[in-house]
Amino acid sequence: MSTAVSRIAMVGNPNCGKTALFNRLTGSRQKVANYAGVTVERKSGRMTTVAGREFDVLDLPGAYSLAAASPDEAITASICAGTHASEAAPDVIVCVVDATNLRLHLRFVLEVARLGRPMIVALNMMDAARRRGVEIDSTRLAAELGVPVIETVAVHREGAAALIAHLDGTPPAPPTLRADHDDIHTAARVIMDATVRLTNPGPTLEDRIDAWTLHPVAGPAILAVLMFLIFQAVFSWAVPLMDAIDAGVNLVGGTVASLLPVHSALHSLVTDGIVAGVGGVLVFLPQILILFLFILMLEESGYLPRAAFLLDRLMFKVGLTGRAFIPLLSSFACAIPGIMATRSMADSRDRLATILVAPLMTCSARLPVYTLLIAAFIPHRTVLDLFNLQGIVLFGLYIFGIVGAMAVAFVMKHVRRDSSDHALLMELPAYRMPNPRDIALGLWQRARIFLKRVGGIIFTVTVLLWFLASFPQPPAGATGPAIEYSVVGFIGHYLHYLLAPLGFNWQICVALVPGMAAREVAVSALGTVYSMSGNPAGISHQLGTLIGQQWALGTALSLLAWYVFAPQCISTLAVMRRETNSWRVVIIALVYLFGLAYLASLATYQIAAALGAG
Amino acid sequence: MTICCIGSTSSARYRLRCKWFSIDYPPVQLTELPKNRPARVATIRDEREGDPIAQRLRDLGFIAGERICIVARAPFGGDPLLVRIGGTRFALRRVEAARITVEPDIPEF
Repeated sequence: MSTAVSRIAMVGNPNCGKTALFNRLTGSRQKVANYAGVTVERKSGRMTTVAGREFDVLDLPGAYSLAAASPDEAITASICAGTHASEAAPDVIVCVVDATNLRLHLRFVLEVARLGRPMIVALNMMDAARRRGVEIDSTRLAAELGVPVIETVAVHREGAAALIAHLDGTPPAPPTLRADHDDIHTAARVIMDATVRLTNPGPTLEDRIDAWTLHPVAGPAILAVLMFLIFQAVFSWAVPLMDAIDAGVNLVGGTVASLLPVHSALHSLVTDGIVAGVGGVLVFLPQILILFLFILMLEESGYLPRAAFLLDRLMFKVGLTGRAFIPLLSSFACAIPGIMATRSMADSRDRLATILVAPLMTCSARLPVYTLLIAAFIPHRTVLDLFNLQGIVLFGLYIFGIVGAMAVAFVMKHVRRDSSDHALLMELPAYRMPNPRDIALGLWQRARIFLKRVGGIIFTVTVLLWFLASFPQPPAGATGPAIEYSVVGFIGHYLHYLLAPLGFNWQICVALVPGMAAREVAVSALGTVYSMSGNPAGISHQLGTLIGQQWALGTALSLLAWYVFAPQCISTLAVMRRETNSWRVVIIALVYLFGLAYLASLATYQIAAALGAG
Repeated sequence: MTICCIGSTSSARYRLRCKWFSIDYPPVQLTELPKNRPARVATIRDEREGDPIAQRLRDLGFIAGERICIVARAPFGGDPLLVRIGGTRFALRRVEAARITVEPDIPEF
């Protein structure tokens, strides 16, 4: 073998632990979870063995077969075959196998072996297999397959040591499959019989849990309670933490501002721009983390595919598929990973429908907007001695988005009018106790992403908005606040003509424009605009009180309705374009989402006004 | 000689068995198999030439002779089905499951 860096590709069935093993080998922190299709694109990393040899490691999406059925499988198939456009064929294939699911995974091993490339089988989750009474004779397995078989436990610190040691040794040779295995299925059966012994064939833990979670009555009830609890928690647990952040931001802002001359532009930039704007978004970090805590635990536990199973019929009726459940649930965090997760969907029609409705799922960037408005307009009351009224309204907004998505999918289904079969064919994984370390890591990553957004795009847009709101300076003898004469004032008043029927004032119109960069920016922009319109400086939490006094209830409800639908996020549109490779899809999404937003807001405001809340 | 009741949800069927002969039970569609009744896969039928769903089923291990069992039926009309085959659980819609015929195991008495 040459001294050049060898390339290793990790392949295997979905959810067998490829990414966990990849993280173990390369020290990466790629996302792992407990459902098929977490990894939908190739990820690369570098590893150095104990002996100092270097490898480029490629983590590939899981595949059931090299005859690819979905876009993510196609990536794996083309790289293994050496036909991928930008990635050369790997020098060594590490085929990862879930020891508890060997019967299924062995077929893929045999398929990969037939490619004739040097390979190693990593027999992963050996600990779980032993616990379940599955005994595997790995020496015999290696002999049958004609390739090295290494036992691994990717979730343990030393679980990949044997694999690393093996890579340090002699380079693996192409497999020497036994000749009498012509048909893959027969071969798999023969090998299974020769190498695996089940010592505990009784009902598994999964069967006992599934009896409840998949029960025709108890199952949907458990799902509904779970979802409702999450939204209650997001609203009620976060309050003390949000108050603490708010106090901290005002303290820092006040201290910095006190060092600057009072009526200078710099003082205004710090108090009106940065504290009012950026600080106003920062307080929502606890809510976002609580939401992610729940999503991560659900992802790790293996419950999500069960929910997809329960909801498949309902989703199919409206023109989606149960498989869309996981991408759509990820869209509650952010539509971008949600849209990317649709790569694991084999049916291109189902995939397109899911991509088009994903932006209707309430992403975490909407939370600041919703929370601000709900806290300002909905009384803090307990309903039925148990539920927080604000939490119920928030839950209602999520439901509104979901119902909207179902309606849109339903219309699309009827426009499309095709009658061929849509396949589900979804694997349900074993349950797993969420690993606290993985959860903590996932939360830390989300917090970093959020803080980066706050410090990056939200900060930049806020500062930019401050400049546009400060210049040009008002003419001599002007009476109103300076912002009325600035670029921002001009844009706001111009847009106001279009949006006045929705009950929006010009300050809201201003906030919506930078809000296209990221939804939370609307909150920071409102903070800046109000702060510069002569209201008390440093208003990160007073913003709510202020709009509570100045806006009609109808205006607030109308803005909430707008945010349920409006595609206020350029990144989402860009990802749609990349994933569908079509501007047409983006334009359809843009037109229908803005159209629905306008109609929903118009109806909300006009009804509210007619009832006397305008 | 024993008479075994191996009834399905729609109609009870009986089968004669004695030590000299046995009559093979006719395969039924997977969708007709009662919950938790062990069976073996008999055939996978192509709906049309090169049916991708049938091909996928074979890739996933739905092949003649494999042990199969319905673990659960979804709410709202029993579609999809949760099927266990060779230790793996798959959710299949009824249209997919209709491509599969199975031979139910005879309960031992």
